Amino acid sequence: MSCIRLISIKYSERLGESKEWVLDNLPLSQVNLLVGKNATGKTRALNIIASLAKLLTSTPRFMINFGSYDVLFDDDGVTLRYKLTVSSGNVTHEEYFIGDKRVLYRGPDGKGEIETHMAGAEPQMVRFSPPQSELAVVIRRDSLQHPYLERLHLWSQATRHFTFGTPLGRDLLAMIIKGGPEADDRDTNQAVGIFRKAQREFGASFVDAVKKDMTQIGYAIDGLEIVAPENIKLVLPANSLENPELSCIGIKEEGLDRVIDQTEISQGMFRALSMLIQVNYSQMAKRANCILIDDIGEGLDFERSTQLINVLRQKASESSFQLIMTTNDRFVMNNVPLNEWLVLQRQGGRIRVRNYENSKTLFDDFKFTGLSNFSLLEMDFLNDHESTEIGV
Amino acid sequence: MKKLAFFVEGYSEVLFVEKLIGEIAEKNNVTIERGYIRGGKTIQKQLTVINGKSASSACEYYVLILNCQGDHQVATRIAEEHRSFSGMGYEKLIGIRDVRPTFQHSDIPRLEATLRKGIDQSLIPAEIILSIMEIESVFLGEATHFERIDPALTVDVIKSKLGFDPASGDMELRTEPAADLANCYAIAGKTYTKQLVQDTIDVLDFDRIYLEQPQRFKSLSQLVSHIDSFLSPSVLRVG
Repeated sequence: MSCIRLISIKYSERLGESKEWVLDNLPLSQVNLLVGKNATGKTRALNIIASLAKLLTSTPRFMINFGSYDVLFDDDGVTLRYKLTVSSGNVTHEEYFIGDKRVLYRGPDGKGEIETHMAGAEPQMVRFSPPQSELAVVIRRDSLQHPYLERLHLWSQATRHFTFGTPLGRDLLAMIIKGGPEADDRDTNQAVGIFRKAQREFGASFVDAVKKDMTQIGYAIDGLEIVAPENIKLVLPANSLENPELSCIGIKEEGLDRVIDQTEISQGMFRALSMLIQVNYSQMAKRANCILIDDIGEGLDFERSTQLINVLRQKASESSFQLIMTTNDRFVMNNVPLNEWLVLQRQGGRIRVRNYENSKTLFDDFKFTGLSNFSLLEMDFLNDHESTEIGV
Repeated sequence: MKKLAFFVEGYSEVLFVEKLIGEIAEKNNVTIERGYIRGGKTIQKQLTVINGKSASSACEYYVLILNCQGDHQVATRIAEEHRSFSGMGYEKLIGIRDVRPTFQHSDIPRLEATLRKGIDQSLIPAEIILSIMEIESVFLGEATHFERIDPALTVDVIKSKLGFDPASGDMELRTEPAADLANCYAIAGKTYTKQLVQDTIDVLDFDRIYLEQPQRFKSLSQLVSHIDSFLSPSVLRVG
């Protein structure tokens, strides 16, 4: 399992234009909660990270039209730096450092040099000219000649992006076909397929883990299984040779004597269930080390959003995955310590990030007001008291 | 009618403040009501008054004691409700919260200096009183009550068994007063929990708490002073 973790990310696009958008520097630790007033760029910041993961993935290939990244990773104590600028769909700058050593460089024409490992020889920088519409770190992936590129690939494969305000697979049933493709556990809508895969690989221990987490967040269930949807029937052509089964997730709530399928489960409950299925699977299969969750707690009540946050923070700490969440929810904010907060502030198209590290005095002062965390945002405390901060 | 509102962190404070005001007011025509504030998200925020002796127009003084259900909620709820309470004719809001478990004894000076930062100075006065380290320090200090819990619980016995003197020592230096109180009661096989606080409130000597204990407890001195000031008839000053 990759231990590579994001340290920070800077991003900009359309500099100097009316649509200029700049994320100054987003410093990241193990657990991170992005907060900010509406339209400060919380979701967009998360999307920037998710897009980077897609860019660095070889299948399916993904490309942006414009944008500039400067990203630091920690790879078991070694700092990796990846810089990328894309203009009009072409790479105009790409650079990759391992520690202080530059191993890849491409200039405005897309040409450059890359460290190449050859059997029996010292690694050397070799000139190259990949297609300008492609990222060199993706198309030159080769575990023998450029083994260091695998680290970025591993990170991209191990990143999951959940949008909590969406159904997370509630409206998708699965058709079980012999010899059909495996569920893609990077697709957060494939809850049924991922549950089946996890149940096959880990059996009762997986199911018990999900039931335990659901109970902890206030949805007590004592049954969790794949079932045929009760009220939906697959209509096949009369001459069809296939006879696929239609499947979905069914739960039995404590105290009730019947299983209900996912079409009957409430939206909020299914979101929580889907996410816990996927996070537990990632944890057991060691398949994810960066989990992005947009709008965590959306649609859940106070107790459940609070408990969901507690479960996720505990899992991040047990499994050492990086957790990056956004929220507008006061109870989520009140339950995440201020040292895990990243406060996004927008001025025009420029997003500034304040956290405990860069605004320590203000965060400490706030703690002593005795107010709950949400008030830091609500009262605009960081701006109102900025003059007292030294060195910001 | 004069109106005063308390925003307190828990049930112990509700019972204590209610009894203290009742004792100080004596024959004054005071209506005291209890309530709580909770919710604010999927559950709509509720400010509920629960014991409902509704204030009649003949009532001269009205006091509302709201349980905010958590130390960190006291300042927050005051900030949230400050404007509406100002509009409802209250003359002052008073918050009461413990120092522990969120803060240490060494944090007190900074807390005292910073607690008011969240308060809107353009509205009616709002003060936050810090119980050091917990409100139970005042219960400990009213040491005559121990023998009313159990005759075997004399100050001498507590001194010899637990090594501190609740009658004359500085109870604001005790780091966990509620645990101390439980330890004292345990000497006689009794228990103290937040759920059993009414049993303790019932046997506290509120004359002593009002007249003598404020000299020993800064928080109590502030609280008594606010209540005295509220219950004093308005004086018309002429130049």
